[in-house]
Amino acid sequence: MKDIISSTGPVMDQRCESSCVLEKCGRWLLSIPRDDITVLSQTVEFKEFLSAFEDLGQAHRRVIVNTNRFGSNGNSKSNESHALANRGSLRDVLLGTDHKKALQRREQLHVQALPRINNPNKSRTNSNNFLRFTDDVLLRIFEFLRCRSLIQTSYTCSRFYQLARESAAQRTYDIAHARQLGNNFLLLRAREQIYYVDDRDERGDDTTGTGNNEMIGIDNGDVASDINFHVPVPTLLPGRRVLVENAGDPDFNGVYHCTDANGNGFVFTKPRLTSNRASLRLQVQHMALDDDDEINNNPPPNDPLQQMDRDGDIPIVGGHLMNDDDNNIDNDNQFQPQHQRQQQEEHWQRAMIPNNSGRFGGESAQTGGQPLRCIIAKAYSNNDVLWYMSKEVEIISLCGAVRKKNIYSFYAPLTLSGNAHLELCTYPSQTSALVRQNQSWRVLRGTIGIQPPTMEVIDQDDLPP
Amino acid sequence: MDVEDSKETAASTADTSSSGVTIQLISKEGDKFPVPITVSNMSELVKSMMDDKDDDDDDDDDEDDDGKEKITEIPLPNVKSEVLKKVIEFCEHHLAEPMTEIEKPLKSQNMADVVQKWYADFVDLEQVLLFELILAANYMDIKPLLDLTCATVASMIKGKTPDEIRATFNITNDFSPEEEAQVREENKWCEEA
Repeated sequence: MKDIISSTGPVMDQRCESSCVLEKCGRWLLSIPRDDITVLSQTVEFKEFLSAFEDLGQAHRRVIVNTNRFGSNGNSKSNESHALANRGSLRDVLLGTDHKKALQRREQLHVQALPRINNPNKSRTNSNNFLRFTDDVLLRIFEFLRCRSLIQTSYTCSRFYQLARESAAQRTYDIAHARQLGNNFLLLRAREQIYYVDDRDERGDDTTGTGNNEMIGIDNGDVASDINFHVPVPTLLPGRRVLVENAGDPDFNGVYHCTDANGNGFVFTKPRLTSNRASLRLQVQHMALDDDDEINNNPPPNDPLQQMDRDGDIPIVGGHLMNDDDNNIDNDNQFQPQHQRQQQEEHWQRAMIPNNSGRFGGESAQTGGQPLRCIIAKAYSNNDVLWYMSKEVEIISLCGAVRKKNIYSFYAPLTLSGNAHLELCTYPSQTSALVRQNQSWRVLRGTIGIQPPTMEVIDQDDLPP
Repeated sequence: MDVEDSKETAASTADTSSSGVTIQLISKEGDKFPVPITVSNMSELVKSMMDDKDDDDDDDDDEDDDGKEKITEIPLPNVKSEVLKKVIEFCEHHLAEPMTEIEKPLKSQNMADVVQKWYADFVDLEQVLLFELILAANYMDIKPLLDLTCATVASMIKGKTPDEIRATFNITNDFSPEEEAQVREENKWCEEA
């Protein structure tokens, strides 16, 4: 203790640079019994300690004022005067008038010194300060940053920390909103639904008379009112990534994430390369783009899309992915004469048109900037469920409207739990598991001659969510 | 910017305006920049001011009493002449060669990889002028210019450490050591990746 008390003298200025000493002092101060303080406060050392403590506080505030002046050019004077005006409140209580006057003199000296300290930086601060941008401008800048850069930016200062978080929230609103992650009440209601917590007792129509409806299976027939209070339940998707390699069509190679689920199971996707966007677009005459059925029921003459659809060469699933109505892939007509296949390939070649960027990105603007994707998902083939790899292409009608279609390229049988760990069976069939049965990913007729991909699940299960 | 320079700009832009209505944009310093309405209409601010003027002048003729065509003056008190000149240069070129949309997030630190060369060269400016240009684009509400300048600043941030960002943009670290540690702890997963 003696060491610490003695350090409140001139040596204190040097030692205070070490936060360890400050922490040590703080712990010692806290450890003083409150009953001893009355006696201790009569000592000279106590008053010196308080004085030194106040000086340190002043130094701290001075540094903060300097920092504020350096950082903001507009209100530096008011900040400084405000900070100085707040000084001494503790001193006023603890110390006498002489101490106060002496300290006031010292403060005046500091105020006079401040402009000299800051002048060299003043011109730089005024003319070239990133922080003078309004929040909306900064958010616009942050929109161009990827996650890692945004995080690095958030470390630079408190304002950027807030704005970087806001930018991230803005850019993930659709995911958070779709998953109900932005509203805890919705999440709570979703949880209640999962555990079948009945809401009716809250509304005073508990028909069981027990007053306790929080149990499974309560049903008093008031289904309609229960439906009205329904919220979507957030989906917990598998977190591991899927690596696809060695596909003859390089569009498919890359890392897939589980991004969705449909009636058949989880859906794994990755964006297609931007340069490939709309590399395959079809000029479809008289195509009614708002109605899938019209495409199938009223095929226009000489329509390459319809030609392929009828021949079953490349199953095309329109609009949304893997609906019950459109996820049946007919493999019965998988084999066809070579010349017919060539003819169809020529159709596709003719249908290719260059990607002409418009004023603000051309097609990207037309289709709302949604990236085209490669998709791995389960689908029915007659009575069998198989994994399929497909890629989205854009189809443009002569009237200029653009829509997405799926082109299927590869398929694989499901892995069974005997061949792979049970958890892995929720993922697309891994090549390493398939080869044990002398199987692998295979090509559909549209991709005959193209090397099928290999597929493996990567990452560990204990990754952070 | 010298007044002489602005007069030169005025003369050059006046030639291009012969086919349409000319608007005079007036900078903070009072320099006048005559531009075709097609150019000035890239600014939503100018456009809306013109609309307001049209509403006010509904009952008036398009010509003065002496038969001369009216030239509408739009004051832009927040924009310096030097900056306004750059803004007009951008708008004129944008009409001739529209800028491609800049992909978000940026895929490269090099602006020439994300936008046409002319635009990449256009924003190869001193930081002070670049910042002034952002403020002007924001004030005048010119979306392509704001996108371009903001993307340029983002490209200057991309790939830098916090210290490098602070040094580049003259930002003071106002975190206490505890706060900084806490912020870093939040994103520890990113540091470890």
